[in-house]
Amino acid sequence: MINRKLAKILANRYVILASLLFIAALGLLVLPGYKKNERVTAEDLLAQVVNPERYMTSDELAEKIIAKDPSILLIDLRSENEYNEYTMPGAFNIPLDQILDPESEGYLNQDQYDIVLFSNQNLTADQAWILLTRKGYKNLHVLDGGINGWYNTILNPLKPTENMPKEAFDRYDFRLAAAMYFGVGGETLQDKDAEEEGSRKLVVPVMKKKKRKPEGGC
Amino acid sequence: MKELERTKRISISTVVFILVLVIGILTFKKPSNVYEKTTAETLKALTTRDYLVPLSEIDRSQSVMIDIRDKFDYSQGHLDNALNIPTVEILKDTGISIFNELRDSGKTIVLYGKNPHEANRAWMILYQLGYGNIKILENETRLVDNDFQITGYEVEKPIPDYLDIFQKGKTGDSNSVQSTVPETPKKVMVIQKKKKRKPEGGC
Repeated sequence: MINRKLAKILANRYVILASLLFIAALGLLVLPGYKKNERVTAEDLLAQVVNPERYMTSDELAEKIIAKDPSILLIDLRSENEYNEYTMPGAFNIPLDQILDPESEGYLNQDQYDIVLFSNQNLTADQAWILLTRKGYKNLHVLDGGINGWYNTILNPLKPTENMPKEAFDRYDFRLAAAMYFGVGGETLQDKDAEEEGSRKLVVPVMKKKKRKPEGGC
Repeated sequence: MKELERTKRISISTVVFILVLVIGILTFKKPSNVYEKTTAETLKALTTRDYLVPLSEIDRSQSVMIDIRDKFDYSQGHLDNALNIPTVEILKDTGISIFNELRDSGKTIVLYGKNPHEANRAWMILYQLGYGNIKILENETRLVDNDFQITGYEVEKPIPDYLDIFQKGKTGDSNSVQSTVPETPKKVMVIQKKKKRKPEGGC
């Protein structure tokens, strides 16, 4: 009796198994939508945010621009009006509210250039940096201090006082020369080149990296 | 015989299949902090600038101040009744539970640091995680002679008339250029010859 029943069930086992699996598969459809993180989790993002590595100082940037470093791409996050008034040499304008537009993605999401984001201060550039980093974009930097910092250090540097170390004077010389290169004093370099080609070229001294004496050790 | 073998195979594969399912469910880890706001929504909130409030506009009875500087800075001076959660610790269990508690109680959280830029980092992370009740203090704080001071601060304000610097030389007929050049040797003269430091340390 039992054997016959069992045999009957066993005869249909494939059908039973298949229908069980089919019901389980249907169950997948009614599963509660579970929350998933995007590529960059909040913890990762926080770890990157507190890391000051993204900041590029004005001096570093000035050196790179003067050396005509082809790997630098400057992005001006301010409004179009401000951009038209003044911007860094070679900068490209993407106002903050357009950074997520599909047209901007081609500029921001690539690995060919080192992108330097800047605005008047750090705030807007930092915000853009955080949003873009969350999307997984790479090679993003922030100009530390923004345009205001650029003005205070490169275009209008503070003269070092006599009790400052020699490096401060070297840096000051570099900044004065860089300021001339960037057009402070009335004539831009481009004008100069066009007008008097045979004349002496504006030489911007390269800031020497400080050589550190070896300390300590056994 | 052949039939029996097939049944064995099927039952083994069924057991394996169920085992895989069970292991998958057991090891499934729910992500702890999930973004509630998309980047586009966040960007929209950014452009409104609603999240910046100066100290004078804060209703202290309805809000909680949170100092996001590190513990040392906090110990040197802070706002009255301010809690200390350094930026690196906002997502740790203790930090996030405070934010959860404050969100449920309906209070406004005001983050502050040395300046709005510093508080902005913590704010950006928390806002994207769905904490909408958080603001940034639009003030600068600093320690002057052991006295904690708060000064006004305007974010993203350009330096007034910064373009004038490009006009400097044009009116003065390159005077500025000439004046800067003779100054350089002076600077060279002033160079204080610092004593060369001997390498320190060693055995």
